[in-house]
Amino acid sequence: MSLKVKGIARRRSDKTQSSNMTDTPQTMQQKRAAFCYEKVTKIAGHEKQDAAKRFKAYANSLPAMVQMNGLGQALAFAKSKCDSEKPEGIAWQHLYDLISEWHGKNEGCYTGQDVLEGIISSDMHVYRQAQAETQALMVWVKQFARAEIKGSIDHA
Amino acid sequence: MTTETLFLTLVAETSIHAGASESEGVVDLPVQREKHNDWPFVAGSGMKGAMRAKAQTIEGLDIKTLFGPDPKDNNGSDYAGSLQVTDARLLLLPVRSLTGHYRWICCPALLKRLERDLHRAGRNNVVFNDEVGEGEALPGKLPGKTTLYLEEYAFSVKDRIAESGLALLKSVLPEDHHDELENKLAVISDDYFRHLCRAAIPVNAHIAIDSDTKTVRKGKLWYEESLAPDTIMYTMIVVQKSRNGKMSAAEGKTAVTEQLFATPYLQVGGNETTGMGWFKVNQVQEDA
Repeated sequence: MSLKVKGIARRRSDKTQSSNMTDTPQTMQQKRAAFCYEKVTKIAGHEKQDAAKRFKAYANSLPAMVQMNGLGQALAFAKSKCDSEKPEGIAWQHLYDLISEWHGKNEGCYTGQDVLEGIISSDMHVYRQAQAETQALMVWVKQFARAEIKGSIDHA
Repeated sequence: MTTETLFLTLVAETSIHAGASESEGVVDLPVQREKHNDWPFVAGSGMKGAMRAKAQTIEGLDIKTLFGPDPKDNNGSDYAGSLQVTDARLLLLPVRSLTGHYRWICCPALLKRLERDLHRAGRNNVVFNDEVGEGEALPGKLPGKTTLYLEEYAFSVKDRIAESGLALLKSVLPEDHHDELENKLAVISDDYFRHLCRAAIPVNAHIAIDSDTKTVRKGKLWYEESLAPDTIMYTMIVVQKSRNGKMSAAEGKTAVTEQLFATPYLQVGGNETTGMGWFKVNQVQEDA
């Protein structure tokens, strides 16, 4: 109880120095949302709009692929499609990097590692967490892609 | 007796899609799940609706007394039906295994709940008391190897399930599944079970074809979950003395067992015109 009171008191005093936001807690969902929003708006503004539209389609299908084939298989497929030239490859690259970067964060499952390398080198308990975390993250990616990217590709 | 309780075990013979409406989750059309533990279930309203739909095909069955008057007749609130149908709860989830045929998985929390449900239904239950470590599995029968693969996960096998736990499951399973149970059962930890209730449910991509061009219609691609055939669930029906005075609880029970389930099949959930949703219903007898 006393901890809670302290927290509130500190937050009040912070109002005068708005730069100090570090002890304002955010839920995991907020963190995922903030991260995904930044990444999705980046691809939404990509010069090749075809790549953005493809990103939306793949963001929609990836969670189902993860459930059908497992995280490792789905990400290996995504990686095999990465290509910096074609719109399709750009979209997959962006999606793969998004997931990899999230897991590579300090509080992530595979800190400082590429996600596939992490999957190969870690145990199955972490793998289970990583799969659940990826699905939770993808819900936001899907949502923001639908909101931010207009139109769809002809052949999904 | 003023109430009778039927305990029904449901064995899925086809895929079952009891949908939770459109979601913004992993797939477009997920199955219903219990919010706090992610275990698939079928809501009592869906079960009752399926039973009522079946009842309508049976001649001489007093639907009004059993299920209540149809709200369409403007007398839906005259009196309540005498059947109380509970949610269909998960008992055994089939999960693919690299090391052999599929496995039926469950977990200690589920078995404890089964125990409580049986108790509520007036069945003298057997107790489940085993402990399962994270990453361990208790099979019905010890396999030759010490590693059991479920989906992509390797579980270590140290011991088999205790005889009492096996007896608990056997007490609710039809006899023709008893041998199978020993061969296929794997009890895993609550945490892994929860994860597999998410990760091991089949997902199918559905499309609509434009009949002129024979290609996918624009935007008509969606992903749908369904429970695999061989999923086993259970439900209870509490039969009360009818409010309109036409049936005693015992008569209501007889109507359900001998008329409604004269054929032991029930179709639940969506996609019925494409052959989905068939459960085989088995009644768990009361203790003698």
